[in-house]
Amino acid sequence: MKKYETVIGLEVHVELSTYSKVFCGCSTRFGKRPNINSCPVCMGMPGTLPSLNKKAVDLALLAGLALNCDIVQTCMFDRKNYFYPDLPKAYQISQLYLPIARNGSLSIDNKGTKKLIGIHELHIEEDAGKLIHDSDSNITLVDYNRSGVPLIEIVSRPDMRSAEEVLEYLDKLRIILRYLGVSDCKMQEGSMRVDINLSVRESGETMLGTRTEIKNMNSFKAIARAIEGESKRQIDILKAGGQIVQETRRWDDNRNESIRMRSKEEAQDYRYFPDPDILPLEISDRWIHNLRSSLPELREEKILRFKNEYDLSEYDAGVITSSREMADLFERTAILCNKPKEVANWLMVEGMRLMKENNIDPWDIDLHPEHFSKLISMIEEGIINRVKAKDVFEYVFLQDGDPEEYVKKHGLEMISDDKVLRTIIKQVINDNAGPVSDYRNGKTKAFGYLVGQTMKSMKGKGDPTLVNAILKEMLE
Amino acid sequence: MKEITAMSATAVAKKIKEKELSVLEVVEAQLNAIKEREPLYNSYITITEKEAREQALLIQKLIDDGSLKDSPLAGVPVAIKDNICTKGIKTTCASKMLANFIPSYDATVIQRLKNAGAILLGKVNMDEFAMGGTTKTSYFGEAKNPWNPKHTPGGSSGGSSAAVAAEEAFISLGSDTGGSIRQPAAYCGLVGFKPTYGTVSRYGLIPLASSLDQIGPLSRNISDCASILEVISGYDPKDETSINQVRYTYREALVDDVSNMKIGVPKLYLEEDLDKDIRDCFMGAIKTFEDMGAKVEVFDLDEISYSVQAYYVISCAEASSNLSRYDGIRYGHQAGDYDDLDELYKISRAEGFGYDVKLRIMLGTHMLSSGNYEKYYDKARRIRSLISRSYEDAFKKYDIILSPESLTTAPLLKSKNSPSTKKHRSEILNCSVNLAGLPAVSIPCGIDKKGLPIGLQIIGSLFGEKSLIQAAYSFEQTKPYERPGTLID
Amino acid sequence: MKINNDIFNNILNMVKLSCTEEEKKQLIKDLNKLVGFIDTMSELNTDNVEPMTYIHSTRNVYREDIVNDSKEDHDIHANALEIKDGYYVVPRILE
Ligand SMILES: [Mg+2]
Ligand SMILES: [Zn+2]
Repeated sequence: MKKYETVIGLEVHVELSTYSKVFCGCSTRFGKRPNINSCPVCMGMPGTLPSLNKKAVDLALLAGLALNCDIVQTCMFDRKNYFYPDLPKAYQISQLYLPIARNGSLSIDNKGTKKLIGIHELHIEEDAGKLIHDSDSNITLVDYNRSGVPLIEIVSRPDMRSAEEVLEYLDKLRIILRYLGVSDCKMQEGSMRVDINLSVRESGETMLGTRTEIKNMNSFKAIARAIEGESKRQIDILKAGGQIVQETRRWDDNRNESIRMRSKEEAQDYRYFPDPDILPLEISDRWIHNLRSSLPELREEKILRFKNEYDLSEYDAGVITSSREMADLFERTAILCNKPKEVANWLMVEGMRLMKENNIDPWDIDLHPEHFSKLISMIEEGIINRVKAKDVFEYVFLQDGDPEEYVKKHGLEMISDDKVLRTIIKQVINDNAGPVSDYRNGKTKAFGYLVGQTMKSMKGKGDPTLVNAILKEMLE
Repeated sequence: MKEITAMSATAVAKKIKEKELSVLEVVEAQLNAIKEREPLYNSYITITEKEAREQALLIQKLIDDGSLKDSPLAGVPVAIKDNICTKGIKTTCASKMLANFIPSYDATVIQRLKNAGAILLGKVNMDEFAMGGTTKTSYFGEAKNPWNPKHTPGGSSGGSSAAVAAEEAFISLGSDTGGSIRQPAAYCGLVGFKPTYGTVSRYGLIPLASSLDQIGPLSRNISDCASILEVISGYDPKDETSINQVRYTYREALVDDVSNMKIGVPKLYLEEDLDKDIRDCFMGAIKTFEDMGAKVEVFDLDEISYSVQAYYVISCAEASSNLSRYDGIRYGHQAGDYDDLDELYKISRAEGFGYDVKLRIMLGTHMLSSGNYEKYYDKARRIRSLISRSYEDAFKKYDIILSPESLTTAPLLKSKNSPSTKKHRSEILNCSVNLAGLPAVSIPCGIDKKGLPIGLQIIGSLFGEKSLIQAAYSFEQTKPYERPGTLID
Repeated sequence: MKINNDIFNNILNMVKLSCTEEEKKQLIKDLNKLVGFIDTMSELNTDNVEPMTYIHSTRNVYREDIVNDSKEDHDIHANALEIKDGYYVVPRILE
């Protein structure tokens, strides 16, 4: 029985986080109305000319540096010529001959061992408009709001071997780009899009097999399924003695199969040539140096530091650094309340639960460390008990409110007044003759029930230590 | 007083400034001339009569309150080549493709002219998308040469030259990719100035070839030309290829003195089998410069012999890409009947473009297509380097270079437009100037036996505009402007 | 290489044009004439010459990342050929 391995390389398009488009002053905001963020330049009107957004270059450089690329210090823009209704000039301004960065790498975890995925190149280009296929009528609608939004395309080497590696690579990439503020990498909004180049070969073979390209994937789940599906399709063909045809395919997630779009023979001849309207860039050592020194601390360094400085486990440090927002929240709160372990625990347990339940991504966490830290102090000082603290945390985490006001407003302060506690416990003992006698007859389990009843009648606000002690005392 | 429309732009600006003429009077005179002569010359595609009158009143106010006292063009009516975008006014490129296109924006040169108080008379005729040298490819019919309407006014800025020569405008703007300002200026006995690449913003100029195109003026004398150049030149953040120079003070160069100038004459053009008339005028011009004290030397410039080939490759390649946006989807001509997207594209473009445009787009695409890039496009760019370098070397020795502007005078409109070798050779000195980005001016230097004007080309080094203006001005003192005979009768 | 029927059709498709048989004959003839002329540039030796695209040595011209949505007086979509609910319209594209 022959064994096969899958060989995968990715082309990832990422929209850069600039305010304005790459060659005009139009806003990059997600347009509410179609064609509202458009001007003569990004509509490709006759006689208009591009003028390059420096921020886009800086962001591309940052990404290149963080991905360990060589910066191409004299880089240029080229025109990629083809007709399509979403491309107003009938050419896309891109970089072919001298892309801004090359020869980088990204390290991924592969079942505990590190693996380097090569980055072939990274280049700047402009996005196209958006097509909406109207299924009811015979037309396609075009919205040019996205036309001219800056992108970087990150082309990996064919170094990945499985869907897991691909997802790990994408996750790592996304975290880095988000840390850098290069892009928000929101797949569902199309600010991160993936083309998969995939081939299979017999295990042990060193030559690459014929590949297919699956275009425009926009969810991690679909990517995983597409890789499985396309690998299987190719292996089945080879097993049956057939040959793979080099072609572009599209993944149909509903039908769970890839569909042929066009073959290599039909591939377009893009007639790339240097765009005479845009001057080349000379990226000086100084420019690179300045950007390099502005690089934020990236995740790997943060994990190490959090382990050392805050004594977090590898796992906790990994989770907490999965976004710059969460890591910053952790660190600032930890500094404020000086209880890093507590902060980490709340984030790891209650925080993760709330994120999962409410579909919050780690980078969408938005609360003041002051509020979070106040909550932790209130627990430490015995103002609220741990049970009620969960409610307060939920409020702080989801609504970023002041925990003190919330506790006051809802009367959640812990009850530790000896007289009050004794009155209530007495009542509980009177009302629960059965369990009380059970306990007195040596059924220790009944004690827990009685604690629960006490807390219940105090709406959960009793000081658990005192409740325990007094109840025990009064039962003896 | 001299007939208003026969005055120079400089003279009419002065009379307006001194309140001897009102702006409206000038505009009315100009509109009358247009109405009277258009049936003969077809210089205009669009005449903005109403807007011109409104502007005249507005500008008059600004002149009266002193706001425009530094402008050399306040109140002067101008004609604009119809490939320069004008907000709210049709800009057609003389093509069916853009026959109804109304830009929502002004080209930067238009903004500058408006700020200077110039008045837009209308949009003038040209070869379709500036591809040609006769205006015969215009969708709106050919323009005619005011010296003899049986002849072409040249092209592609043929409407610009016809309008100024026919006194339907004091000055005009044209665009020059491979001689398209200088050749029509020569054919119509005018001054035609192609500035250094990057001097004038291309924003709003509908491109033929982006790395070669440059907007420039056509006028009846070099002073007018210097005035309008001052107004339109300068860095524009909307055009990355425009150059950030401190000041463009061209009028300072209107000095009658070439005694310190060293002038080069490429041997190439002395060995040519030039028409006798053209040769005589050219030699006469050289002698004039010598008589004025300039030092003239013949030199070798053979490296530019392949300019036309390189020009064809680069201009058509860029054009093919620049003209792809006309796809029948957002603006421009759209096919009436189509079944799918591909048909929409193909029919819209087949109907919207004329034959010459199609030919050049196809040629340019072929030059860039896979397998040809190195052989054609890259080769042409290497030749471009060589040309640029040899000019650079020449300008180490000379202040300016002289050549005939064209090896013929204006051909008959009905003559076949076949690419003759003579035409190719004629194009060498035009194209090579654009390939190297240099400034060049064509000035009248005589009349042939058919009664048609002959042009002299003066080429300068990069940003050597002032030397050109000084040389042209000095020469002009020996040869004042001649009106076309048809206007005098 | 001469532009034959196949090459011609390929170019025609790339530039999205259609033409009549008669036009085609003329275009092929003119294209070959021009290509023949252009081919003579191979006579010139350009070894060790760098290709040139940009006239001037100016580099790094750019703008700052500032949104400028000052809309022009005239509607930029006024030349639109077909608009539906604010969208441009093309014949249905089959993926
Ligand atoms: Mg790309
Ligand atoms: Zn825009």
